[in-house]
Amino acid sequence: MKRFMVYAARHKGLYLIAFLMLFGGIALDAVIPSFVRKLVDDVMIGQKTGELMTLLLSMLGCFVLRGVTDYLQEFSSDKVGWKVAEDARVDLFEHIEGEDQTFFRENTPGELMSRVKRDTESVGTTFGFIGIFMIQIIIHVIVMLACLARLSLPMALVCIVLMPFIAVLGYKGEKKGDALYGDISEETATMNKTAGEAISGIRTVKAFNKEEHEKKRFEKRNKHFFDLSVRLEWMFGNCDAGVSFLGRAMLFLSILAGGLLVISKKMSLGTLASSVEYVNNLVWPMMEIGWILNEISSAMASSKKIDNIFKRKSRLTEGTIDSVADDELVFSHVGLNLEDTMILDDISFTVSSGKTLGIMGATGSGKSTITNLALRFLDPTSGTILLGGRPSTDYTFHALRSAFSIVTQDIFLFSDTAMNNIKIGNPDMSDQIAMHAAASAKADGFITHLEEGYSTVIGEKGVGLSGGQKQRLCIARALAKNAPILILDDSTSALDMETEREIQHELHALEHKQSTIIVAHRISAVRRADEIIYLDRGRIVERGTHQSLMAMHGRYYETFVAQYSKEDADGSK
Amino acid sequence: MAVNSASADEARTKTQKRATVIRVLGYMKQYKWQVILVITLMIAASAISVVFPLLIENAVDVQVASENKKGLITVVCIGLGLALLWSAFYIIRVRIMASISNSVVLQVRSEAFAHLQKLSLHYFDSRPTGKILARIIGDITSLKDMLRQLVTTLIPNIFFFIAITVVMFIKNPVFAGAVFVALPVMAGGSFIVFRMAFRFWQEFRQKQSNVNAFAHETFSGIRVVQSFCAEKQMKNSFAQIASQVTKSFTSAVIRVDFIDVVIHASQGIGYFLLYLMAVRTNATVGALLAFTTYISLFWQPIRQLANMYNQLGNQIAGAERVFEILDTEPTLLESEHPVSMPSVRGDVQFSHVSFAYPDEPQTMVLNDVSFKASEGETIALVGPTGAGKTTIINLLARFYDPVSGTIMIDGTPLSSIAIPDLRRHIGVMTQDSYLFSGTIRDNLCYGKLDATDDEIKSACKAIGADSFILATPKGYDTEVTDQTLSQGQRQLLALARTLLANPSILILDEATSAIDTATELLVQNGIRLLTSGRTSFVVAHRLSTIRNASRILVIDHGSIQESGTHSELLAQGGQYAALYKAQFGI
Repeated sequence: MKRFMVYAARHKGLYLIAFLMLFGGIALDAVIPSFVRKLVDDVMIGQKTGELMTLLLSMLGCFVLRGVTDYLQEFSSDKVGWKVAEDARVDLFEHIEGEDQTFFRENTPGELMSRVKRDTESVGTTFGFIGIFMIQIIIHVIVMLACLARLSLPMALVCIVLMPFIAVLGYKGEKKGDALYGDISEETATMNKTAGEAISGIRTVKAFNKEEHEKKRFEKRNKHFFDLSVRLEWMFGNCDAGVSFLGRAMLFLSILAGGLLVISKKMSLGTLASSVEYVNNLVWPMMEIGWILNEISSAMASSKKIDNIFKRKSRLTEGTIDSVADDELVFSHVGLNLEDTMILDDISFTVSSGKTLGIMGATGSGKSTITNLALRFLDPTSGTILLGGRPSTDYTFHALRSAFSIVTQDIFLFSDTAMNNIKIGNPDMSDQIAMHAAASAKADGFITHLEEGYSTVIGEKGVGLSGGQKQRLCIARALAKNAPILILDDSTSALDMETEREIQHELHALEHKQSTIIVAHRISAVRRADEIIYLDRGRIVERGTHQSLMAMHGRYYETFVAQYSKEDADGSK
Repeated sequence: MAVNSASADEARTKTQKRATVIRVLGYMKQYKWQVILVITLMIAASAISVVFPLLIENAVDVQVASENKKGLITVVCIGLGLALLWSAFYIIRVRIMASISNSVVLQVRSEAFAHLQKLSLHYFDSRPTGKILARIIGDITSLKDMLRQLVTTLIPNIFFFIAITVVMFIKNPVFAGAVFVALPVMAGGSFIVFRMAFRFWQEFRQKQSNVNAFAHETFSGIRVVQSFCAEKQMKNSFAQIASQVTKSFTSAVIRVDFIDVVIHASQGIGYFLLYLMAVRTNATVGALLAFTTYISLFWQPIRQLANMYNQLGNQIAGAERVFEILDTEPTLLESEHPVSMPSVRGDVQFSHVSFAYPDEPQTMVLNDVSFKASEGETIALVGPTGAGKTTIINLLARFYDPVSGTIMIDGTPLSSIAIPDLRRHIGVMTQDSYLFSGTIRDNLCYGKLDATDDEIKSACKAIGADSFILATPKGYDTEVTDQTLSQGQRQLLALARTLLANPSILILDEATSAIDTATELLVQNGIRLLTSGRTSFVVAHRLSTIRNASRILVIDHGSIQESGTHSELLAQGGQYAALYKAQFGI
């Protein structure tokens, strides 16, 4: 909530308008009855018909003005609510972007989307329309109570005695509502996740004939959401009914008290009559408490969820150095132990400027983890990683990650144009550079054949393109980034042989200009590397150049034989 | 290609607002009696509210004035009793309404989801996930708001409006007439405000949907965002989208809130005419003051109706987006008389099959493709990326229908086979090896929910996935996340999943691309096991995977260029031979 106060403070102007208009409205409400009194007293009774038109027109004017104050109050409070929501959205979005992998393992995109959209909205409205209305009601209640107390203290006391009961009822309702809204927000996120999976995995769903199964899975969430929503509405129904009853009890009990005073001659009948007007004016705000509480509960629950995200400090702390002097990358005795599983153990290597490292090894042996550590998507549990002679933790994330161009194994493209996909991270890049990178990645040909060429919008995750085309776009965007160290993480697996060879040819041209780390299954991809390491279960089991590894007749050699033939193997030595 | 990106607006269809409201109301038919009960309760509660001022008047003017203590206490007790009754009615009314309106949401949401599952892949391929989610999760709640408004605001208020109008005309037709002149101003004003704001409510919904889609996509691709240092760029785009939301919302409310001016102005006009008539007709003060009490009662329902009418704009805009899903015709329809196929031999025939995507009908992706595969054969599809291999597979699995030509299984056209049967007999392992959240076991059983532990284990052993699964902390009960499994391991799981489903026709689309050579050798045995005895289609780039196929089809530019066994094609010295040399020509 505190965070939202800061956002709210940014829009003082709008709040000022809202409150000015609020008070203006109150003033006009006080003025309009005086015209009526004059009309009755002067014109109808006093027969001063000459004043009729002036009075009538002034009254009409007041009504229109009253409309204008209401309009401006409502508009500025509606607007300020959305402004606050917008500020929160953008901040939350930016904060989430800076989180580490553990965070994204715990929170699915569907959940995070809910937070960014729904939860900010719910807190926003409370800071706009609802909050201002609540303040209006509080002012109203205080003024009415004060007026009542001046006329008849005992009647005011009856009201004051009953108000704590209303407050307790309201407080309890709010607490329960808070908890239920928390559950609903969770359930919304789960529902988003369940439906999101069925949509993203629709090919698999259809291939396995599992539409019914997915429907049932979703139905379970849907039903649970229904139960929670109904429970929430019932709960607030009870709360509302209770508060309404207490409000009306306040009215009748204070009349009883006042009436008894009049009967025992301690108060005049006239005073009772006007006091009843004030009590009446205390009752209607009580009827509004219910839904205001409902909204506030929802906002509280949402704000807790948002705060939880902000409170969670990314487990990786950023350094302060904002540029990398030299692109030598050193892994020194690096180990990674996650949940008692040794993922990597004692990994050491050096990639000097312009050199190439090849990494081979079985599926799940930790090859991709090495690249994740280099870019600090997570930190090792032992050993150090040095970049340009300094621990990589000394650099800002921006500086560190700017040193790498990476083609990841999982192909992820954005639903944007081909051009913007290549330019990601550097929208100011010239088209020429982007096209040049596309040409090097052999993506130029198919892109220009798309309906709108480079301006063609590519579907989410690249749907509509073949696996190989997507991969070529990923390579193109890495080449366009043109960072000192290029990481290719099994990045040519979906390419046909010919294209792969052509791309490799292009990459060779980059050698010596750029340090390269190639993670691959195919010998052809790593054989030219300055050093090749072979991983097995997180450890380096073989290392050397292609020649020395072949001579070792170990795992690398076996892989070669499997991919080519024994004759080739022995011949190529 | 894609219809839509995350940050671009969805197309707006021409709308029929009234039809949308009627359609929403249609869902209420099944709750006819509950609705009648709710309305009755509301009218009863309002009748009680009318009694309250009378009671107060009686307490003050009669009981207190005549110093009747007992009478005062009695009136107060009646008042308290009625307040209790009012609250009881309220609770019952809220409960019924909550059940009805949420039931409708429940129903529409599951209808929409079920319908969604029937839509062709093209629907999903051409729009971001976040946008579909926005409709079935977020926009649907506007149905609930609309229903609640229609039942608890529209109907009772119309009732009151009529009742109070009748009373007013009976009491004083001249005064009533004067007040009534203000109504057309009110109605006209509301209508104009509604019309002006509607377009912006639609826009607001679209922009909100963009927020959804953009956030979903950025967080899905967070690793790419972070490794390309694109956080700032993404944030800027997002800030732009977020400010567009505020802008469209502001544009809508700057119009909608204008209703305040309309209401007050018409109220002013009403009073203006009332007093004018009162003076002109020399009415008594008493008569005038008595009438003003009715006027405040008269404006109450009108004000509520006007507000409801205005919120309706936003709600209709939301409901339309939900109905749009329900109204999207699935392009892949099951034949009207589907042929059920309890078992399949596995003869596959493509004759003169051509294909183009629906939104690019001129660009032929496949052109006149014909081939035959007999029971038990393994057909390898080879060719450069984007040549049309995956398209052939999409057609065979009937993810899409061809533009022309026919595909037959065991002599029966694909389009006439019952879709569940078809899918049961065809096992597809797609390029993206999608796994669901849940345990490894849950994922393995996806195609066969009742698979026993032994079946699961032996499938995983055959594929070579058993050893890495056992090495994970909880074995088969390990939760699947992006981080716990490598890409290759995901492929192994997807292969085992396909093996467990035990299809008659098997399709492997680059099923082993991310698996290392040593594991692949293991997997090869598994695949040999998988392919033996069933017709199989294999798309792969590694010739080692393809060499043993019964027949190899070389696909390029959407048609078959060469066809034959490995040695035949090598001898032919064509495209395949060139490819082969490319890999082995060291």
